Amino acid sequence: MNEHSFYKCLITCSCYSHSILPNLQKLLSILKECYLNKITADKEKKIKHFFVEMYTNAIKHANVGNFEIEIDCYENEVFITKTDFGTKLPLPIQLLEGLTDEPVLIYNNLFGKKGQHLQIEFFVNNDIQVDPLNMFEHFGLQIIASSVDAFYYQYDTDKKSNIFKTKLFL
Amino acid sequence: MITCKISEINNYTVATILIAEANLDHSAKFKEQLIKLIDEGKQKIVVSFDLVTYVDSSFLGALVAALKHAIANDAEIIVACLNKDVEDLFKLIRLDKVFTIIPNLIALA
Repeated sequence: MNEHSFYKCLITCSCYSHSILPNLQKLLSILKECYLNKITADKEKKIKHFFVEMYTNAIKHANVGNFEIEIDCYENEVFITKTDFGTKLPLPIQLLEGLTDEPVLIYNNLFGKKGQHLQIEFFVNNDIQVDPLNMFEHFGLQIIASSVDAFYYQYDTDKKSNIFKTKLFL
Repeated sequence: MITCKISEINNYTVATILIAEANLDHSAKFKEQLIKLIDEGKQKIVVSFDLVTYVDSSFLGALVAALKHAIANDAEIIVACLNKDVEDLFKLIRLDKVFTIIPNLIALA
């Protein structure tokens, strides 16, 4: 990316479910101020869906009471990144160690593929219909991957942090 | 805290979720209540989201776990009264293909 972000901020969030909606409102206020009428009702809905799931994931996995959300605004896209200090996601080893260039089925219709610098890119394949009896009962990553234009995961082994980076075109 | 209020409409057992924010704080209790209904022999269970403003993946996971238990016990779970946001979330992860969704409880009467 060549352009520079015109606005960047960091929100420290507490790992309690009652904090989800106030922080969602804070995020939406920032985005509406930065992008004015580009935050359509449809975009707002998608932001709500993935933000709730990123937050819920942090509550489940963070080993400390707080985590961080960074908002990085560019002219036509925004990056929203969640960093928590918790346990590495239990993903297939081929993905975590970047052993294959092929997409790997994680569960239901969620796939992961190798990105840059040991990043994993998540995406969904909506052509796959999962039988209810075989359905994995975890939908958080699917919801995030279905709501944003790109979704990357990385585990920082030095800092022991889970990093979810999402991109949304505006 | 009770997650659902249980009532009967004709042959249907209606579990009305009593919380607005259907999230991970309530998902285990919700799943427990639905599984108890199935184990008691209820065969047509309608879960009403009438009072729910938002739902998260943990709660949806509990609903799917209950559905699997229902299918294994020849019971069914129908979902009712979704607001637009919640219905969109069902569609986003294609749960609208898994559950029968009805707009309200009038059809049960």
